[in-house]
Amino acid sequence: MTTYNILILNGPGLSGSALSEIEETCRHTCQQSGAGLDFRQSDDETEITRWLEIDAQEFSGIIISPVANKEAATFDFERLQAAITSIAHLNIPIIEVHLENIFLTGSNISAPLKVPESDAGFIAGLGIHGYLLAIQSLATKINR
Amino acid sequence: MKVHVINGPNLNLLGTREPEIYGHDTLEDVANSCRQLGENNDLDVLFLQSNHEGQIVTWIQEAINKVDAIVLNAGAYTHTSIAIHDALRAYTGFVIELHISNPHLRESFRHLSYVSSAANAVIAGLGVQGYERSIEIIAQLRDQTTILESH
Repeated sequence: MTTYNILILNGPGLSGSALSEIEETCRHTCQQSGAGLDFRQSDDETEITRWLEIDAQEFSGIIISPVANKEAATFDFERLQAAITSIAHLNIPIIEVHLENIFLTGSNISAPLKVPESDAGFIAGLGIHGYLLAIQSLATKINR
Repeated sequence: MKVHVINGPNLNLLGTREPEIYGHDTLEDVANSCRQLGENNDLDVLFLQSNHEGQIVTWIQEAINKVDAIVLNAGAYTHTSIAIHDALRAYTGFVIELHISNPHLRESFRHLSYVSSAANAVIAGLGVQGYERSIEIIAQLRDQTTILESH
């Protein structure tokens, strides 16, 4: 089986035991898919954008969970979109994941990322299953 | 456990309409994979398509208290149909809104969805594999019995 590496980036507000559980489950799923995993989290959007701009080219696929709902008000989505735009020419499949359905009343996240050049996938409302779905979907896209 | 996969307008043209966006698989190909996955996972999958808004509303109504989950690709009615939104609000099972491409990366008239706020989850931009993934995820959620009862 082809081996490849995927990068999972988690933004502000995703931390602690919840994040550890997500990471453990993602590692398990990646092993089953024959994928290597680099799992990262930061509350600092400068760091997240730098990871995208500098490190992304080393990966065959990227999953971005931009922000936890309660942290959304102060998060600079436009900056993240600009970083994704800057690596669009690399044609790396990207999937945006949100644990919750961000379209429900009460969500602080107003909209999905808008990077028309990116061909990105979008998954929301499936909790931790969203990550697993994203890993499996990347496997299909990469091995196609 | 019953799952209805409901498809809206123009999805009958899948495989021939703008294949650079929607891919080369036909809707019948997708239906066959979903039925097969249903069999493998002990799910009773019914695959439907209509170009008519009212028919989709009726199918959602008929699913009330009879069908455990709906996977809905409402096509362009996603962006116009308050009637489909209302029908989904009346439906108490689990709803996945599905799109083959990611509407938020396309024309601005596709950025508003009347389905999203009446669905439990949204899956978009994964290509036609989104259908199969939706069936798999419903099987996984059933096995964990955590999310399927929350709607």
